Amino acid sequence: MDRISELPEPILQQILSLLPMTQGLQTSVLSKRWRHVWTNFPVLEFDRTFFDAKFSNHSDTRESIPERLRKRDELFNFAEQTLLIYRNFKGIRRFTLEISFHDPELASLFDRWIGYLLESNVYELKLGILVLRNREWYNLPGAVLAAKSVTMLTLSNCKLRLPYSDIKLLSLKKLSLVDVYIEDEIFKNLVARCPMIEDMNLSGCCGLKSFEVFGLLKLKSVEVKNNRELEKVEMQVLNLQSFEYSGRYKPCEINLAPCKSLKTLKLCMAAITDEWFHDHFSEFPLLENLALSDCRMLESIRISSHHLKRLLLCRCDFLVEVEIDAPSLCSFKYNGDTIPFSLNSPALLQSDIHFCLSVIDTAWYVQMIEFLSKFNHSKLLTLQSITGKNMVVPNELRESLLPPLYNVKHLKLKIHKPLMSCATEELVDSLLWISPHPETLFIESGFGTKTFKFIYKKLTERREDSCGCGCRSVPIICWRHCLQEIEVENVSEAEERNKLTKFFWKNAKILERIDGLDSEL
Amino acid sequence: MSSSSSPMQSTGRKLKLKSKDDETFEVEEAVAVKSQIFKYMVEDGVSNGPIPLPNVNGKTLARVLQWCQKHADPTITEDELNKYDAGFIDVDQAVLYDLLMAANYLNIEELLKLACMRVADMIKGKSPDEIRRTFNIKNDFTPEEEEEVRKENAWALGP
Repeated sequence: MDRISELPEPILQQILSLLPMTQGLQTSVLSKRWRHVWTNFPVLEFDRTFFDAKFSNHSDTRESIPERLRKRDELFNFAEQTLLIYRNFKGIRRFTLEISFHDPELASLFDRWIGYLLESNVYELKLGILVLRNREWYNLPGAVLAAKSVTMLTLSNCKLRLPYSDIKLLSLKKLSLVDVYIEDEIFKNLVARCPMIEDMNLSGCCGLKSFEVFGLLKLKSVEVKNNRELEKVEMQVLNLQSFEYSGRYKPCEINLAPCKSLKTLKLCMAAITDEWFHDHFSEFPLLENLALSDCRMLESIRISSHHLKRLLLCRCDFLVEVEIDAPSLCSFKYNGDTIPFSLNSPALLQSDIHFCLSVIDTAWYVQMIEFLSKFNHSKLLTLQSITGKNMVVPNELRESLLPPLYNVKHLKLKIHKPLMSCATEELVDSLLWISPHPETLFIESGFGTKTFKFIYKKLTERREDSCGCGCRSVPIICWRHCLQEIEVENVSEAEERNKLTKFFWKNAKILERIDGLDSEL
Repeated sequence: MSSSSSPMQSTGRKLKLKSKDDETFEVEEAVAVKSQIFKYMVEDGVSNGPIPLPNVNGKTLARVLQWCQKHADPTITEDELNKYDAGFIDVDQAVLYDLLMAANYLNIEELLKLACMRVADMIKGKSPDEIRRTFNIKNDFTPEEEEEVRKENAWALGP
């Protein structure tokens, strides 16, 4: 039975909007109902899939230049005809034009197309017009910035340049400028004339030196990333909830202090000092998500927050100490050195730790174990390592130090370069010292995830026989004494399976069964 | 049968729902408000009796509520959510349509989008004949009408 055709028109149109335009058009031949749905469906996308489908350079290199030009003209004719038809269609929901071209004469063609679709009250507009000539830009027609109906505007690769008559984007909710050229004056005007804006994204742009936003009561989310000439960011937006910044090219002054409603703050490659951080952080009482990465001026930070739920501290290479007091923190991700660390986070559910490259000697292991012990209360802990070798704790240390993660229930080791990693049973041996009573142990890499599920027998009294693992000093009973059953998944190599089987049977004193490691033993 | 109640922290307030085949469900407010319909009801204050949903059957409602619960869980990661969604929507056509209609009726935007994307994925890359076969669509054009449509779309339908 054909139920799909009976779906209400808006649902069918939503499905069509998720298909590339050429395929959407094809559905109009399926049946009368589908033809009807398509003709009432005002979404036009002339993007790479559209142009590539018919105008691919790679397929036939024997195609002569006149032949290719003819194809291109056919393509453009079709697009223009379609636009003319839709010009009278008040309310095109979505229009996308993404194209790159050499021939400067085509610019006026695209000007004309843009004129047509602006006549039809388009709501969501995506324009990416790239000139394939060095340092030349397509100049965006000013009318785009005065389009009253536009609610979503994404512009890429073009140039917004003075003079523009009247900038007025009264319906604009979402603005995205990617790799465009925009001058300070125009941006200031733009920002002052879109009162309904909720979401702003400025990435990879040139020309703009100063990103200043005042007022804009509906603005909730701002992303400012890797803009080449940006020197200053000034936000006075009371209702701003999310701010993300990345500054690959040059140091930039950032002032967000007035944004008291901030819930999410992500700073990457930001030239912020300890003082900036502490001054700003105290201004955001509602902050729930904080991410600081590659902020190389930070040395010593203290984070104290009631609301903070997620924290990320990565590659801030000059950090020497961190103090965190966050009773609501449930997720933590860290990439850095084994620095002195103080953590108050009783609600911590998952932690992800990646120790950066360093000289791996006894002192490092001692520091590493001390660092890990701060995360003992985390339910799930993920350790990231290039080869896993730095997670193999030397035996001498195991006798004198306390296992750091004896309370962790689920431990995962993620290995980035599995071909260079050490043997699985070596890793398992060390991980089971680090966390002597886990429920599950995962070793994940590009080749899959090896899973070990451990089932223990409840012992009524502590066994006093020594097992040389120093477990008497730990408040829980280590696996050697109470492990009864193991369920293993995804351990496939024969030698691996043999070694692991031997390892478990040798060490687990009351082991009864191992599932999933069938070997000749 | 009543659905599972959420194990998460919550205000404790629950909504009672009744499907068209008289199955009742109890669901935490925080989960139910994934549906815009319930969101408005919660905001406006709701009566004590179960909310009747004459357009959704019990099986489908159970599935939908399960999805809402997963998506209302604050501890779940985006990766896990994506994995869950992929498994959730991998169902046969009959279930898929029921989900589409329910998500539309209950105004659950994300679920509707998920289901629409699945249908779109089932259409992608297929020729019109293949699409007709997949969905049992009857071609009700006369040969002349079909030719006319093809001519109009000649450009996009080319080789």
